[in-house]
Amino acid sequence: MSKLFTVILAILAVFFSHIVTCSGPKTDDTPAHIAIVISTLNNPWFVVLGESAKQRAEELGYEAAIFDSQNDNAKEADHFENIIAAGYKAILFNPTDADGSISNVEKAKKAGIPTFCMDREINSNTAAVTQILSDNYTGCVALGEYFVKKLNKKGRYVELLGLVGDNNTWNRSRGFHSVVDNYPDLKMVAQQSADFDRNKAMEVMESILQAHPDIDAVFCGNDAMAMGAYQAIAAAGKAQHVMVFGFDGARDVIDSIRDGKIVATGMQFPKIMARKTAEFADEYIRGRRDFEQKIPIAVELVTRENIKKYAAYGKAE
Amino acid sequence: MKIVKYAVLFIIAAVLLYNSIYFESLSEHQATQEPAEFNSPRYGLEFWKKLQHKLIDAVPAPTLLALLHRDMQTAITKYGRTLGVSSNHSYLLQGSGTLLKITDDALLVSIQPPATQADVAIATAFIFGNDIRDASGLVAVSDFPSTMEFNTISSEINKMVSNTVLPPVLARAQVGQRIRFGAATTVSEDDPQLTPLRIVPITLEIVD
Repeated sequence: MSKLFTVILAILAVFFSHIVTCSGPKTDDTPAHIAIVISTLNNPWFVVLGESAKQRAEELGYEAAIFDSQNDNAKEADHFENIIAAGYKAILFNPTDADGSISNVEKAKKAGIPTFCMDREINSNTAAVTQILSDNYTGCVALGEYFVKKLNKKGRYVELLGLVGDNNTWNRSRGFHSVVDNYPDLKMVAQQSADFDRNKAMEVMESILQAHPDIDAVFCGNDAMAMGAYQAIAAAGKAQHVMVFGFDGARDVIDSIRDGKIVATGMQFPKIMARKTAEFADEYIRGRRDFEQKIPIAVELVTRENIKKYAAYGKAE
Repeated sequence: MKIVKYAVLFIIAAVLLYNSIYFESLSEHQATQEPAEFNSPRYGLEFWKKLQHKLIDAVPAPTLLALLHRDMQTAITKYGRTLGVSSNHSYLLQGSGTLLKITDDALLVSIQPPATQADVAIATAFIFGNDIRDASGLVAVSDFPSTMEFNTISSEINKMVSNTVLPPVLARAQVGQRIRFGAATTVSEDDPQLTPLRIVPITLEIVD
C-alpha cells in the first residue's frame, strides 16, 4: 500500500512540476525567447517601438531579440522561418504589408507560435492573437481639422504618403481627406509616396517644389517624411511660407514644433503599444486566450498651443 | 457482351470525368474567391436605422452634464463608451432647450433654466469625427477584417448629419426657439471641455 502511495506521489510530483514549467516564462536556467520583428529600424520611431517591446519582455523574464525586416516582405518571411526553426515562444510583430504579411503570421500559427501585431495591421482577424493599433484615422481627422483652420479653408497643398501596402498609410490619408476634401478652395496639387522615409521625402519634395513652387502646406503620413519635406522646403528658402504637418510624435518633430518649424503632428504612443503587446504575449504564454482581435490606441493632436503637454513618443512626465 | 461491358465502363468513366473537371475563366474564378466589397453607404444606412432605436435609451442631457461636472469617473462607467485604449469617452444623450445664439459652427442652447448660459453647442460644421459611431456601441473594430472599413462608417454617418439632419433646422432656426435633440458627444478625461459641451446631432427639431 505504501509502495502504491509513493508511486502516486511521484506521478503527481512530475505532473505538477510540468505544469509549473509550462505556465511560467522560463525554466530554471534558460529563459524563454520572444522575437520582435520590426518593419524597419531605419526610422527612430520604430526603434523606440522595438526597444520598448524588448525592454518590457525582458522585465517579464524573457530573452528578447529584435529582427529588422528593412521594409522588405521577403526579409520578413526569412525572419519568420528562422524564428519558427529556433522555437521562439511568441512573436511581437510590426508587419511590412497588411496583406503580404498574413502568410508569415499563419505559418507561425501553424507551428504553434502566437503572433501579436503592434502599430501596423494585417488584414486578417484569425491569424494573429491580437493587434494593438494606433487609431490613425481619428488622429488624422483631428489633424485635418487643424489643417483647415490653419489654412483658413483655402490654399494649395501637397500630400506625402507612406508605404502603399500599409493600411496605416491609407487610414491616415483617408482620415485627413474626410475633412479637407469638404473645402473646395483647398487644392491638392501633388500626392506622392515617399515610403515613410526621410531621405526619400526630401527628394520627392525637391522635385515637387520645382513643379509647384507656390504651395502653402504639406501633409505627411509620418514624422520622418515631415522632417525630410521640411529640409527640402527650408533649402528652397520657403520655410516661412509653407506649413508642414506630420504624424507620429517623433523626437525631432516634437522639437521642431517647439521651435516653430513644424506646425503639428499626431502623437502615437509607441511605448504604450509595445509594452502592452509584450504583456499580452506573456499573458498568452501563461494561459490567457480571450483577447480582443483589434485594440485601437488613441492618437492625440500636438500643436504649438499644447506642446508643453508632450515629449518625444508620448506625454511629458 | 464485351461491347456492353466496355460501354457501361465508358459511361461510368465519362460521368466521373465530367463531374471531376470543369473549366472557368480566371477572372470569374477570382471574382468568386474575393470577398464582396464593403458597401459603406448601405452599411451606413442600416447603422442609421439601428441608431434611432439606441437613442430611446440615451441619457438625458442635464443628467449627463451634471455628472460630468460632479463625478467624471461615474459618468464614464455609467454612460460612456471607450474605443480601445483612450482617455476620450463617448456618450449618447438627448434633451431640449432654448436656442440662445447661432454661430458659424454651432447652435448654442441652454438646457436648464434660467436660459442665460449655453450648456450645449450643437455642431453645425466640422462634423468629421467618430462621436456617433463610438457613442452608439453598435459596432466594434474587430467586427471588420480591416480598420479602413470600420472608419468609413463614420464618414457615412457624418454625411447624413450634414446633408439630412442639419439643413431643415438651419433653414429656419431663430434665437429664442425651443430645440429638441438626440446627439452624441466625446469628452476627454484629461482635458474636458464642458461649457458648452459640443454635441453632434443625430435628430434635431424645432419644437415651436
